[in-house]
Amino acid sequence: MALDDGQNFVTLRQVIDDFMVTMDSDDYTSNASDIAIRNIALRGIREFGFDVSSRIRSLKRTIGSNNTVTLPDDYVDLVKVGVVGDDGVLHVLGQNKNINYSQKISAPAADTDSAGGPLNIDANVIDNREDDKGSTTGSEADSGDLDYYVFQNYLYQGGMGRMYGVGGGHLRGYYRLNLDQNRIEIDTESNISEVVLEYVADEARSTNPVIHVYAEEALRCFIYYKLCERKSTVPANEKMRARAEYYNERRKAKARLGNFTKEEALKTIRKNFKQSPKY
Amino acid sequence: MISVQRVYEVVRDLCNKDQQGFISPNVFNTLARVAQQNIFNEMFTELKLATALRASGRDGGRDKSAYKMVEEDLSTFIRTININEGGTINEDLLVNSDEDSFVFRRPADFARLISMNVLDSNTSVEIIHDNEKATRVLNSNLSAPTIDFPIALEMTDVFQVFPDDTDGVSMRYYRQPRARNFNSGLLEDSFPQFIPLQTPGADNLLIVDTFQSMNFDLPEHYINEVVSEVLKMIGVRLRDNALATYGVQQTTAE
Repeated sequence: MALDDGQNFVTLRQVIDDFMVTMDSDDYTSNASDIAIRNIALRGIREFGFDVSSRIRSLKRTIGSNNTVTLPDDYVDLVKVGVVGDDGVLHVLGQNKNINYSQKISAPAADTDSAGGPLNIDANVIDNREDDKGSTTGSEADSGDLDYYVFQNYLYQGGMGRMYGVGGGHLRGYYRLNLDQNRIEIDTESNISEVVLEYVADEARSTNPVIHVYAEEALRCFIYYKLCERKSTVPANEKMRARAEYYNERRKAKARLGNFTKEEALKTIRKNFKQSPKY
Repeated sequence: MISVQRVYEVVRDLCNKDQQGFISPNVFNTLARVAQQNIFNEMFTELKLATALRASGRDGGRDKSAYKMVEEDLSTFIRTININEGGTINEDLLVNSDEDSFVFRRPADFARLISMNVLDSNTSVEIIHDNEKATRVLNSNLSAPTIDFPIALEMTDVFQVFPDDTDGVSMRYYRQPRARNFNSGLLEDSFPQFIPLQTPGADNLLIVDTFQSMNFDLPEHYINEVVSEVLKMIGVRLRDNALATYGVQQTTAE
């Protein structure tokens, strides 16, 4: 099912069409061009994606030969990196800020985008993502007898003892975000060839940008405010009103999207009750 | 539709009021086409006035709105045509539809563009009139055209659609005013003209030839404007201040 088949998401096309339908000849924004409206709407979707209705995408990426993972085209910020086990659960990798990613100068910088002429429209399209919830390829360490949870270097009464239990910070591997080369450096078992990235995606660059219905009105207010903002013919009080309306709608959208229900509160409280015997 | 016979008769009678002049069908036909074009152009100007009325709160509401009335009059001229990339529809308009571009020219009766849609879909095509911005839009990774958001660049007398693999477009536009026959049918290649029947021995008797004469392609209530426009020009032609002033006054009053 496409995302826009549901009622909870509204496509950019619908938002723009609704905005234009309600636009009248004596509106301050009546002479805005189609392209300006779309550009501002996309900027609004991008803006909302940062802190109102973040789109967290989960994407499988292959680990490259140099233990790196290229960041996706619509990457904004990282949430977690991990590997999927047979249990269907994501086992998160830990962050290690000391993984080396140094470079050496080998060749002059490549041509910039602008030097190459007009943008290749086909190349600019970000491919659709498809579901792939199977475990990541490559086997994990055999944990059948929980060997790797066991520390065996414990001397006890002249012999090698064993200490049971998971040590603190024991993880499946480590990563470091390399923003200089726009990739992730991975340090993990050699037989793991794929990782799962969960990241904040730039919704504005998706093939069919959508916005949650809670934030739809806020987006329309954003479009209006941004269209008015720099127009010399719009009175200052109208600009102020548009700005205030946008922030009010944004506040409402944020409150609706980030609501905390009674069930969630109860679930959190009940987690702390244990049925273990007390001594 | 405005009857060319009625307009001709009113104009002839007004010109003859002081026995200062007479308008022949040939002169009338020359002026009629220009008069019709002027009125069509003024409709767009009237939209501005209607908007000003609305902004000042003096516009009648809903069905009495001046803006709505002009829109209603202009709707007579709205036309939709389809052009597909393969050139099977309106082939004559297609300039280029190879793998790299989809370019087509304006129809002959094109006046003002209203909108464009991808053929057989509800996807609107965004129009760019500003050629300087076009390059920037094509270079922008945010605003670059996509299949869901195609753009059409308007330059000289052609439109170029991006992305070039758009199958075809349906274009809606205001056409230029032409002529109507006596059954109100649109005559796409003709202009209003008054043709009298040939009556041997009675040269001054002008009876309209309903088969050859063509009516104005304007709503009925514009008859006064048509008469005024023609009179303005005849006033200049005859150097008759009274006629010219009357024409100007009537046009201003409208």
